[in-house]
Amino acid sequence: MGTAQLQGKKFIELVTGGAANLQANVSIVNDLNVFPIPDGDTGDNMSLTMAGGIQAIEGCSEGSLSEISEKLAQGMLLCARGNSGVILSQLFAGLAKGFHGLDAANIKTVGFAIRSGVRRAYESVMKPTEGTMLTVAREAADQACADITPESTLESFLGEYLTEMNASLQRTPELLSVLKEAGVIDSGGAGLVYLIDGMNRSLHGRTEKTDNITTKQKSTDTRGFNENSVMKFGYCTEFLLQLQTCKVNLSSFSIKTITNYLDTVGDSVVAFQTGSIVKVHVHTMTPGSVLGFCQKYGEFLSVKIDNMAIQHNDSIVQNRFEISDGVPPQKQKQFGVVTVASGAGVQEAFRNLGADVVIDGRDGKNPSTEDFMKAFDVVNAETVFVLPNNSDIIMAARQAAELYTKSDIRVLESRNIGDGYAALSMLSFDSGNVNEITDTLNQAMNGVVTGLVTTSTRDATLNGVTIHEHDYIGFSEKNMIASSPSKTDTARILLEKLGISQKQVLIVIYGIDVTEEEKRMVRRYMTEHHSKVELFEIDGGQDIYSFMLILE
Amino acid sequence: MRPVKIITDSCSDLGGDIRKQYDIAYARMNTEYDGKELPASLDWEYYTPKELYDVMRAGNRVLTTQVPVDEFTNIFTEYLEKGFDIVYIGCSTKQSGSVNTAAVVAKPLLEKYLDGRIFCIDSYNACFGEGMLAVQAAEYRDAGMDAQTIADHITAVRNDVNEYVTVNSLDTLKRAGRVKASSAFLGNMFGVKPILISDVNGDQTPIKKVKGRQASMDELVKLLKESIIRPENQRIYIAHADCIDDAEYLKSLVEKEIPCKEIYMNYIGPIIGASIGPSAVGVFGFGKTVEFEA
Repeated sequence: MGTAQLQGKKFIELVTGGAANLQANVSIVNDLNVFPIPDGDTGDNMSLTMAGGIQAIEGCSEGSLSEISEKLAQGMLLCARGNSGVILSQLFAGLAKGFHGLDAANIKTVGFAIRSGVRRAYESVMKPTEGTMLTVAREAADQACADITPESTLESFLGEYLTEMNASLQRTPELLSVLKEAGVIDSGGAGLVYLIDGMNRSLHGRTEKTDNITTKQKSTDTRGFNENSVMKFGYCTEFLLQLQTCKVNLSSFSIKTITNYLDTVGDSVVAFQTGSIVKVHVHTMTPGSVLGFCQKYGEFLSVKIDNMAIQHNDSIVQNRFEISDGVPPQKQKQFGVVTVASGAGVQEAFRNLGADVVIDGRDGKNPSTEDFMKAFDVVNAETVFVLPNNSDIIMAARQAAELYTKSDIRVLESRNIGDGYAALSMLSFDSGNVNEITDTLNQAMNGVVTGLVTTSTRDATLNGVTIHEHDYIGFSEKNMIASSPSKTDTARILLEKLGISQKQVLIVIYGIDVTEEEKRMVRRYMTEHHSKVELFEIDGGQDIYSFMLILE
Repeated sequence: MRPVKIITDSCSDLGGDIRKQYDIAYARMNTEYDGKELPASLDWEYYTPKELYDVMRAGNRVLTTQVPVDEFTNIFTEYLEKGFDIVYIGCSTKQSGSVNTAAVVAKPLLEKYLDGRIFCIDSYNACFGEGMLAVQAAEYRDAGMDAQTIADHITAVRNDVNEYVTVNSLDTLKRAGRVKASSAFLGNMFGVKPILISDVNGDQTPIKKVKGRQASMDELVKLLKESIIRPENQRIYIAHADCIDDAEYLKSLVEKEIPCKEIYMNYIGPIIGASIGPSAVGVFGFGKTVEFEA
């Protein structure tokens, strides 16, 4: 035997339970918030709105359903926050309208009132968007109300209402592309489901919290790897390792212990240590052995391992070895960018600036014509812009461009990392015009100056600068400019001679050997002497150059 | 004909002087930081611009709320009670839900004040883009138009607002979820400055990149000069998020490049400031109809 009539007192119990469940799940709802403004406050807004309503009906348990629902709606409207709060308040305002004048309501009337709420909510929004809580409220109400029979009870009705609502919620990404892109369901809709779920629990005398909402859509597309696949790309393996004093002497531990090993079993190695925690990123065929090795020094705080054949393409580090395996061509996109850089941090920065493929260009391993052609295959665009970033590589890139027939290849004369950065930072395909884009990239390279700091391998006097073996040297283009036993002094002299005081922006790319103290010295120097110059720092992770200085 | 009250909101960034001059009221939103929720006053009664922007410079986020229901209820009731019709010109619905809320609040009020009318207009803009529409509405009112006619006229010219804004970084806008940008603008831009406009739908969107702060400010004036129509009859608006030197520079450049009737300069208020971050500067005027869609 179920409940045939909704009384005022029961209504209070239900909405109170609903509000409590919404409150309990507020952060989940916040995290889903991407529409219309992804500021992560939908959960808070809905919960505070609901709380305002609950406060307004406190101590009203003797009232009629009509009185209570009106008070609730009024309280909610006064406390309504955000779009979601306003819409929620209108759902309840319409509900109250449906209950108007009633002491209690049978199930049919409850259904009628719920649909009245949906109408009111739609009316309240100037441009209703489908795929939001409006849709969720409407579809659930339509379906559940259509199924009401004379035998329906509050229990059966609310149960179906919740089921339909959840089903509708899961469909929201199909209706609203921003949700699909973000891989989430609608936050307001989710809030509504938590509310109704809480009411349903309260009806059944349960108030414990369980998760019956799948909050994230699967974002992994596993089609890239099946039973016939051969492992070519390996695993992108990332973890945080807490070094432990019981396993290793912290004061003598060097990160090189780990990076040296990683270099033997993988590539795209990025590893750094902060205090007693080591963060590692490596692409490897054998993540098991990496974890086994590292566990000798501590325990893992977190581990993430992705098969790179099915990984999100935005996090792939394309290096020359991976490229050689190629990727099956799909439909050509309009524009693509291939560039060359060494050091994981620099490669990462270039990808962030819009490069599709960053060919690993460590000195002594200049990319070949073939490497470029394979990179063009991977990019698979109608027009590919190429930034070789090294005067010694431009020829190979040009040759590749001549040989390659599947795309229009535009090789830009970026002679160093600074040119490449300057061009990429201005990249925009918005004009859609190849010549215009080429012009913009070429113009962007005007006026950028690149300085490099490394160590000398011998005694010499160059360009009037006396150099001792193992001293640091600073040069620009092929001109020797500074030399000093101190790494940071060399950088400082180089910056001054390159005219830092006349520049607006300095980008410093730190090599793998630069310490935190040396970084602080750079920062302090710039703040004290050139506070008007904007400083940007990149942990490049390159091995030959301690500092790559880009001045604009 | 019933008298008309022009009402805008905290996003309009109109200072007390110009609001008084044009008899414009505004509905207040709220800011929230340090655990305190305070009204977003355009007269800075609760904190100074520097205090607010320093909070953000220190890396803290300032949260904002749309105009609360009771704020709308009070301000609408006040003027309906006095026999006014109301034209409310609110922040772009792409940036705030206030226009929607205003319409929800207006409905039951009009059942009570049967002779009154309230028009809630999505300005498609924010900051002075919204504020200058409110000023324009006040000028229409002073020319004797009724509320309906004013609402129609404002709706017709809202896409003629030309906004050009630059920021040192898009980080604050991105974090606040208040920019619609292609991937070319989403990475770290390392010193490259975006120029933002309010697009045909009222989305804030970057349209181009410029190297360096100085060049980006020059670009703002260049773009406005290209698109503004009949500047000699207009007031040009300059807004800044606590970077008065840059705003003064823009002003001198505008004086030199775009002869206009008047220049109005003010701080970017608490709400827009919280979304766009310190160091934002922008110029505004009426010009060619915006057709760009992000």
